[in-house]
Amino acid sequence: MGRSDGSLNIDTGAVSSRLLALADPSEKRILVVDDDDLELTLICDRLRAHEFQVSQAANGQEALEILERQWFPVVLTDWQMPVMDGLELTQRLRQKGVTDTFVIMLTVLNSSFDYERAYESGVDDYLSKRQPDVELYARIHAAFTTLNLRRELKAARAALAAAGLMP
Amino acid sequence: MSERDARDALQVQLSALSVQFLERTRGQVGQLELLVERIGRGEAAALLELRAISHKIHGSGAMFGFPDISDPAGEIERASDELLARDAKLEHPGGAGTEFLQCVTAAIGRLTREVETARNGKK
Repeated sequence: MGRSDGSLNIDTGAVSSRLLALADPSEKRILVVDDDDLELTLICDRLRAHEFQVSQAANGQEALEILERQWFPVVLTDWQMPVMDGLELTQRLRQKGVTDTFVIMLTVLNSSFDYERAYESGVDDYLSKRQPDVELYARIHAAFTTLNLRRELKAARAALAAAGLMP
Repeated sequence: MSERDARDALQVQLSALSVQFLERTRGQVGQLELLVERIGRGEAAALLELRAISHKIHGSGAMFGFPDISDPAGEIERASDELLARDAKLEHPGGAGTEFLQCVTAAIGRLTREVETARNGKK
């Protein structure tokens, strides 16, 4: 599935949106995943007010389906949800080899054991629901910065490899 | 729309969401009271419901900036988790036990007061 103008002849929506985002690194898209309607609206309203492009999903399964069609640089997910929780969502994403999506776990669970489980599952950052807005925005901006650095590193490695300078 | 207008519009939206949250939580506190009665009668399914609702209030309270609502809900959630780990089917004599019921009832009392205080503050 490519763009309707045929300018990209690639297979999936997720790949297509990755390439488009590479062309426009300023694109600030976030997928927010939460089973609580009010919390979902609250987070999405706040992020939209800060000019992020926000999509939403009610659980991990719904998020995975969206991520099959479209790539998101950042996923902000709750942990405990029916159908599929945030931990399983992250594990499934990583199993599919998706490493260029930055996953932030936003939850009220806050023991060191919970942190460890989340990081082991492939979560990139972990944020308590008690943190003030400013902390949330700071973490999200840090996520986009990290992703851009990862991309640049990958491109630099590819350039070195092409020049025969990588072992 | 100017930046200030946009900020004001967001404040109005967030304030309306907070009111909805408090109304919803008020209803949920009523549910928690009924669930405690059922747990006292040895209904194990009610314990799972109690845990689920208290978890929701715990998280949403934190998100909406009501730590005094989130905290007692967190206490109920933790007490439920401990009991679930120990005796999920409430098979031991005495079921949930007096200590659990007293702890949860006290937390629900605090939750009720905090929700009312917050609702009055919003009016």
